[in-house]
Amino acid sequence: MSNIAEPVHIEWDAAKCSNCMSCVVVCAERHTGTSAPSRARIRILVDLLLNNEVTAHYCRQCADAPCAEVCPEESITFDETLRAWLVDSEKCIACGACVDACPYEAIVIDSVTGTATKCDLCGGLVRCVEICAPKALYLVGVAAGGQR
Amino acid sequence: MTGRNGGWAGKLLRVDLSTGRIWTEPSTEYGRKYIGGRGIAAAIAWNEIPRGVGPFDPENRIIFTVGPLTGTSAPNSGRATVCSLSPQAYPYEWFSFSSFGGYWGPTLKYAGYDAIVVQGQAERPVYLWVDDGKVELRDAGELWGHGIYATQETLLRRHGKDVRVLAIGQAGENRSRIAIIASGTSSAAGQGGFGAVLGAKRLKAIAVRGTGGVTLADPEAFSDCTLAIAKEMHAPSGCPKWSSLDPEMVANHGERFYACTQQCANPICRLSRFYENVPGVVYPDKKYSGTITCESSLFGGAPGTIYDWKVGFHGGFELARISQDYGINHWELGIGMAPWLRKCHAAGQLRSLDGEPFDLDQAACWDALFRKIVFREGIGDALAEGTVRAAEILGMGLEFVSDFYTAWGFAGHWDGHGDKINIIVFPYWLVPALQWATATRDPMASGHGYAQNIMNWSPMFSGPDGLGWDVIAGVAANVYGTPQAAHPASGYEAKAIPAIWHGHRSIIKDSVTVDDQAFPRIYSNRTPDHFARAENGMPGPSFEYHMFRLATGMDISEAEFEGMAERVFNLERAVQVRNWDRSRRVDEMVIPHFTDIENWVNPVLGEGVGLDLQKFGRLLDEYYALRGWDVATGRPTVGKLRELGLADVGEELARLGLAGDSASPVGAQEAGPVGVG
Repeated sequence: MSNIAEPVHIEWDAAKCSNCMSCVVVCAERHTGTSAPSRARIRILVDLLLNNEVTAHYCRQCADAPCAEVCPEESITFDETLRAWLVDSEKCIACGACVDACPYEAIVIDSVTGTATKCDLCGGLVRCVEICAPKALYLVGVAAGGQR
Repeated sequence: MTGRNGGWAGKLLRVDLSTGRIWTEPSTEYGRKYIGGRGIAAAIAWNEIPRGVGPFDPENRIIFTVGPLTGTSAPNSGRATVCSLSPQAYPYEWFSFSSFGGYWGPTLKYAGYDAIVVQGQAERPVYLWVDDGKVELRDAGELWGHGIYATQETLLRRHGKDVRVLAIGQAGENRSRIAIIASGTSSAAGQGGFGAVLGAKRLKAIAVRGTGGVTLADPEAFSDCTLAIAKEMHAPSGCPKWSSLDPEMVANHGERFYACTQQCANPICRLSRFYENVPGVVYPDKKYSGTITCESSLFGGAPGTIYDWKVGFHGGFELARISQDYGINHWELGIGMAPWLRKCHAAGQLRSLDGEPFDLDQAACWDALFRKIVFREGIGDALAEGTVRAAEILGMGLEFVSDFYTAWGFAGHWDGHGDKINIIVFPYWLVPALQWATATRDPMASGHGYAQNIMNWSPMFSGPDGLGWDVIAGVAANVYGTPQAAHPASGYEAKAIPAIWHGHRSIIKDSVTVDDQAFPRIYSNRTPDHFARAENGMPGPSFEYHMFRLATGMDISEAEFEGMAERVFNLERAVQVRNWDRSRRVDEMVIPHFTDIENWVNPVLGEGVGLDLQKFGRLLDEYYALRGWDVATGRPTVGKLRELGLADVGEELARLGLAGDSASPVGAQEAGPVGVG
C-alpha cells in the first residue's frame, strides 16, 4: 500500500456550500442516468429546520481504504491512473462489509443495481466539482504539475 | 438521442378533500402538449373550473405542479408552481399563479408526480402525506392554529427529516387574502393569496418523501448541456454587480450565501443569504435562524428608501421570521402595505391602532399589527384582505393606493411608478406596462427578463461594470430582431415584440420549471459581443429549449417549443375570457397608473415622462395583432386557437359568443384607451 500514488479526493467546505444539491443530482445523472439523489455517490443532507445543520457524505479515497481492506472478494481496488478506489461490480457480492467499514458513509449498496457503489472521480472530469458554483467542493491531492 | 422518454414523472396525483378520494392520472400527454407546470395547470383550469366558481368554493382547484426539468441538474430548476383562483387578485378573483423554490418541488418529482391537483373541502383540518407511491389524508387537528415552522417541524419529527413540507400558517387558516404557502426556512408561494385557498379547503400541509429520480431521455448529453449552462451562469458573468459577505455578519451570525432554490447555479446573487442565531428585538430571549431572500431583505434595512422598516437588521430579521411563520406575504407587506400605512399615518388618516398609540418605527408595533392581521382583530380584519380591499373597507388612504399598487391588487414591480426601488426609465417600462396589462397578477414573478435585465446591465445601475446603452440594444437585437426593442431613445417602437417574447418565457420558466432570476440568459461579460453563450457556442436564450429537448426526448424545433408556450399563454387567456369576460377594456384598466410622470429619468432623454395614451393605444393594437388576437376586443380568435392546437377551446369560446373576431381591423376598437378608468 505504501507504494501507491497519492490518492485524489474531493473535499467539501461547509462554510461555502449553498445547499443547492447540484453536486448530488449531477452525480446521480452521470452514474445512473437518472436524477435520483438517493443513488448519488455524494450526498448532502440539508436539515435547517430541526437541527440547523448541513452534512455531507463523500469518499476521501483513504490511503488505507477500510472498504477495500474488509472486502471478502477483493472487489475494491486502487486505480493508479485515476488515483481512486474503484468497485468491480462483477465481483461485488453486496455483503455490505464495506458499508459498515467506511467511516464517512460514503459507500452504499445501490438500490437498483444491488452492488456497492462509491465515488470514482467520474473517471476523469469530476462533475460535482465542476458544477459547484461557490467552489465548496474541490479536489485534494492533485499533482502540482496540473495532472488531472 | 436514445429514443427514451424522460423529464416528466408521468402521473398526476388527484385529491378530493370532500370525499377523501385519492387517485392518479397519466400526465405525460399533458406535458407533451403544455410543457408542464403552469401549462398543465392551465389545461386543468380550462377543463375543470367553470365560470362562476370563486376561490373559496370547493369546486376551485389548487394545483401544485412541477415540470420536466424540475429535480434534474438543470440550473435553478428546483421550483414548483402553484395555480388556483386568486383571493388576492382584484377586482377579479381570477385564475392565477405563484411559485416557490427550495426542495419541495424536486421532492414531489422524486416521489413520482408532475402535479398534485386538490379539489373539494375537508370537513376537518387535514394534511396530505405523500410517501412516494403511498398517499393518505391525515388529521391535522393538532397542527391547526400553528405557524408554518412549527407545522413543518412536527411533520418532520413524525415522518423523518428527509421529508419536505409545504404548509400554511394562521393567516391562511383565517382566509387572509395575503396568505402564503411556504416551505423550508423561507421559500413561499407568496403572491396570489393561495394560503387562503388551502385554509378554505382545510388542507394545512402537504408532506412529501420522494426517494426516486427523474428519467432522462439522454442523460449524458443532458448533463453535459446543464454543466455548460451552469458554467455560463457562474460568477462573474450572470449579473454585473456582485455582492460580498459582510465580515461582521459572518463572524456574528454565520452569514453565508444560500441557494434559495435547488440547483441554483449561482447563489452569489445580491440577496439570498443564510443567518444563524440572530437575537430578537421584540422577543429578546429568542434567537432566529433562516434566510433572507428578495424582498424579505427589505425588513432588515433599505436605508433612504420609502420601504425602510427602520427597525434595524435584528428587528427586521425577526419581523421577517414572524410574518413568514404566520404566513403573510412579504411582498405585500414590504412593497405595499407598510409604505401605504406610513403614508396614511403621515397624512393624519391613521391616528391609532384600534385606540392604542403606535410607533411604526418600532418592531413591536409591527409584531402587534401582524397578529391583528393574522387573527383578524380590529383593523387587522380589514388589512387581512390586502391593502387594496382594506383601503375601501376602512375608507382610509384610498388616494394613496395607486402610489404603490399597479393593478389587479398587486403592488408595483418594475413599472417605473408604483415600484420605488427598482430603477427603470422610459421607454423600458413600456414592456412591463404591456405585461401588466395582459397579466392576472404582478407579472414580474417570471417576467423580470426584459426590465430587470436591461436596467441591471445598464450604466445607470452598474456604472462601468455594466454595458453601454448601445451595447444593450445590440445584444437585444439577437433576441427581439431589432435594436429598437431595447434602445434608450426608441420610444414606443418595437415594444410589443419583447412583451410577447417574455410572456412566453414566463410560461416556459413556470412550466419546465426554472428560476426567473436566472433565465433567460441574454447579456454577458464573458463574450466579446456581450451576448450570452455557453462555451460550446449555445446561445443563452436557447438554454431552456436544449435542456427540455434532451430531458424529454421530444424531437421538436426551437420554434415549436416556443409554440408550446404560446399555446399555454392563449389557453390562460381563454380561461380569463370564458370565466371573467377578459377583454381589451379590462387590460386597459392598468393605463391610468402609468400616466403619471415616471419615478426616474432616462439620462439619454433628460426628462421624465408618463404614458402617452394615443401611442400606448397603438402599442396595444400592435400587441394584439402580433398575437393574432382580435384588436378590438383583445380576445383570441377561433383561427388562432385552432392554429395552436386548441380548436376545442376556440369552439367553446365561439359558442359562448366570446371568441375574438378575426375580421376586426386594426384601429376599430370599440373604445380607445383615452378616458378609460
